[in-house]
Amino acid sequence: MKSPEKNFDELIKQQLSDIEIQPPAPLKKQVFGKLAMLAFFRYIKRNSLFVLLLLMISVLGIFSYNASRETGSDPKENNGYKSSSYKTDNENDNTAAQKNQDITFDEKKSDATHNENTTHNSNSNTNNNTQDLADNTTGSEKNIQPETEHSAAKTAVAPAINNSQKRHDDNLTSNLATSASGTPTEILPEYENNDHTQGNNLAINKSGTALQETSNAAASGVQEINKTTGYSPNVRTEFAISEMLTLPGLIDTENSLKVSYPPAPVNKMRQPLSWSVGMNIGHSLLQYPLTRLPENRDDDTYSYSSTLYYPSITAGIDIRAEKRHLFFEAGVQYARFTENIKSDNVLINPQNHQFYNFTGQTMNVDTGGGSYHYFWICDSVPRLLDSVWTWKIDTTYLNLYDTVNTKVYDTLHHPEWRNSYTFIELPLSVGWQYNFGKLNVGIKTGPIMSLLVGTKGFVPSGRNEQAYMNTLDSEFKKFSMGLSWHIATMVSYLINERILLECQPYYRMNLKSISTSSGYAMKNNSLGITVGVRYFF
Amino acid sequence: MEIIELIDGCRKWHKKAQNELYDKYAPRLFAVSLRYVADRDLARDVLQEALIKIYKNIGSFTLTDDKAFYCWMHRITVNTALNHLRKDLKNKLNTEIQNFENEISNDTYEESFSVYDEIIACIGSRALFTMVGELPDGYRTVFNLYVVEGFSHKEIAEQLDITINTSKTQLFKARKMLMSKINGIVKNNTLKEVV
Repeated sequence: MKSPEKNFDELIKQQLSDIEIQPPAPLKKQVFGKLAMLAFFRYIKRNSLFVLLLLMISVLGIFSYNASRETGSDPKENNGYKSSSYKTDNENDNTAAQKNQDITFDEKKSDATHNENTTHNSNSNTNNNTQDLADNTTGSEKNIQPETEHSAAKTAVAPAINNSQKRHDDNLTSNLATSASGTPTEILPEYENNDHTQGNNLAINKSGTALQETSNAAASGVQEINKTTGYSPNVRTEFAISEMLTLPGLIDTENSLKVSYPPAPVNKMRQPLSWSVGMNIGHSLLQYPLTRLPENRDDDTYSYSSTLYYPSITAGIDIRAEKRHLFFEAGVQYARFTENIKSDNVLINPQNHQFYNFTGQTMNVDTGGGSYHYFWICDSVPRLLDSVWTWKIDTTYLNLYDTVNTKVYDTLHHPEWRNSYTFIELPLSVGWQYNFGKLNVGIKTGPIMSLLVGTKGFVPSGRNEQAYMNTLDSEFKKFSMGLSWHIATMVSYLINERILLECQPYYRMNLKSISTSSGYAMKNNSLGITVGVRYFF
Repeated sequence: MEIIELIDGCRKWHKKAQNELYDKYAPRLFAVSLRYVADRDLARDVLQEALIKIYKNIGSFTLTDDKAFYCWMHRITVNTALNHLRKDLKNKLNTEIQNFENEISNDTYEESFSVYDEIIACIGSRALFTMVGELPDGYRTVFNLYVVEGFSHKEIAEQLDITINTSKTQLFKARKMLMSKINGIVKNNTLKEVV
C-alpha cells in the first residue's frame, strides 16, 4: 500500500507531467538564427579540406613557376656572368644579381663616349669600372689613337691614383685596363703584392697589350675577344664583358697568357631543382584518444580511458624538390593508429553479436531506477544479459527496445578493447633546411589528407552501465576523408653524395575529424618520430 | 511527418524538419523548463540552449521511438536547467537545514495528505503548475527531481552537489509549502476561481 506521501506525489506528478506552455514567439527566431549560424560554421568546417587543398595547389604552382622561370633563363645570361667574387653564402646572391643588372645597363652606352670615362678612378661602383675596361678593350679598333694618348697620360697618373686605391681591386682593374690598349705598361711593384684579383687584372693587362689588331689570332687564351672584331659594338661588349669577368682567378701562374678554366662556380640563383625520393617509417610516441564521443551528451556519463597502443605507425614514400634552403615534399603513406580503451562502467561484451531468444525475464527496481534483466541459458548456466535499454522517466519505465530477438551482450564489468584506424595518407609539406657540412637541420610543415580505408574495434553507445557496443565498421564509412596538419623538425646526415639519412620528430594535429552520423568522431593528435633514407637523383 | 523522418531530417539539418520538431516539442519542453526555472526569461534561455543542444546532437540519437526521443530531449532540458540553477542553488540549499519534523507532528503531516486526493484533482494542472512555480528555487528543484522525475535523494544529492539530508529537508519543506498553498485556496474558497 502506498504511503500518503507517495500518493500525494503521484497526484501532483500526474497533473504536471503533460503540461504544455507555448514559448514566446521571438524564441523561435532566436533559435533558428543560432542554428543558421551553426549551419554556416558547419559548412565552412566541411569545406575546409577543399580550401586548404586549393591553397596548397596555389603554393605549389607558385613554387614550380618560380623554379621553372629561374632554371629556364636564356643562354646568353647563363654563359655570361661567372663572377669570381660570387661566394657560396646567400648574402652574395644579391650582389651578383645586382652586378648582372648593372652590366646590362652599361652595355647600352656607346663605346666611344666611354673611352673618356676610363680615367674615372674615383668610381666606387664595381660595374662602372668593369664597363670601362670592357669598352676600352673592344673599342680599340675605332679609337686606337686617341685611346693611346689618353692611356699614356693616364698611365702616368695611374700610380698616384692607385696608391690611394690599391686595395680597391675594381679600380685597379680600371686603371690597368686603360693602359692595356696603349703601350705595354710596366707593372708597378706595389701591385705585385696586392691580392688575388690584382693578379687577374695584371693578366688582362698583359693580354691586352699583346693583342694588336693584326696579331690577335696568335694570342692564346683570348680568342674569344678576337672573334668579336667583326661584331657590332654591343655584341662585342657583351663578349668582352663576359670574358673579362671570367678571367679573375683563372690565370695560370706559369703562363700568364694562358687562361685556365676551372669548373665554373655554380650560381645558386640558377641552380636547378634538386629532386630526391625518400622512404620513411614512423611511430607515435604520444597519442591523444582517437575515438571521440559526441559532445554535450548530458544524459550519458561514459568513463573510459584511452592509451596509445601498438602499432601506431606510418610508412611512406615521398618526393622532394629542393632549391637552396627551401623544399617542397609530396608523398603517400600508409598509417595505422591504434588505441587501447579501458572502462569501469560500460557493460559490454563485443564478442557476442548474436541473436537469442530469451528464456527468462525479471525486472530489477532500485533507488537508481529500474532495468529489465534477461536470462540466457548457456552451458546449463543461466547468464544475465543486459539487453533492454530502459529509461526511467516520470517514475515509469519505458522500453526502448524490442525485447524479442534483440542484440544481446554479456555483462562485463571491466571491459577493455582496442580500436584501430587504417589510412592511406597524402602528406604535403614545405620546409626550410640549413646545412652544416654533412649535417642538415630543418623544419617542415603542411597538411596531411587522410583517407580511411579500414577500422577495427568498437564504440560504446547507450546509457551508463547499460551500454552496448557498435563496431567501428558500422559507424565509420570507408573512404571518409580527414585532414591533419603536421609540423616536423628534421635532422639529416649525408652519408654520401646521393644518400641522406633522416630523423624527424613530428607533431600532427587534427583539423578535420572523420565523424559519423551518430556523432562519433575520429581525431588524431599525436606526437611521434620518423626515420628514413633519401636518395638524390 | 513521421518521427523517423523528423529525426532524419534534423540530422541532415533540413529546416523543415527542424521547424516541425520545434512546433511539436517546444511547448512541452518549455513547460519543463518553467517547472525548474520560475523566471520566464531564464526559462526561455534554458529552452533555447537545450534546443540548440538537441539540434546539434540529434545525430547521436540512434533510436526512432517517439517516447524515447522525447525522453532524450526532456533529459537534456532538465540538465540544462539544472546547470543554470546549480551555480547558486547549492548555497541556497545549504543555508537552512532545519529539522522540520519538530515543527509539525508526523501524524498531522501524514493525515493531511489524505485530504488532498480530491482537491488536487479539482485544482487542475495549471494551478498546480503555478503553485509549484511559486516555490523557492531550492524547494522547487528538489521537489521536481524527486516527485516528477523520480530521482532518489542520493541521486539528487549527487546531481546538485548537496547532502542527502539537505535534499530530504528541501522536499519536506516543499511539500509543506505546497500543502499550505492548497489549504489557502480551500480556506478562501477560491478553488472554483482557480479551477
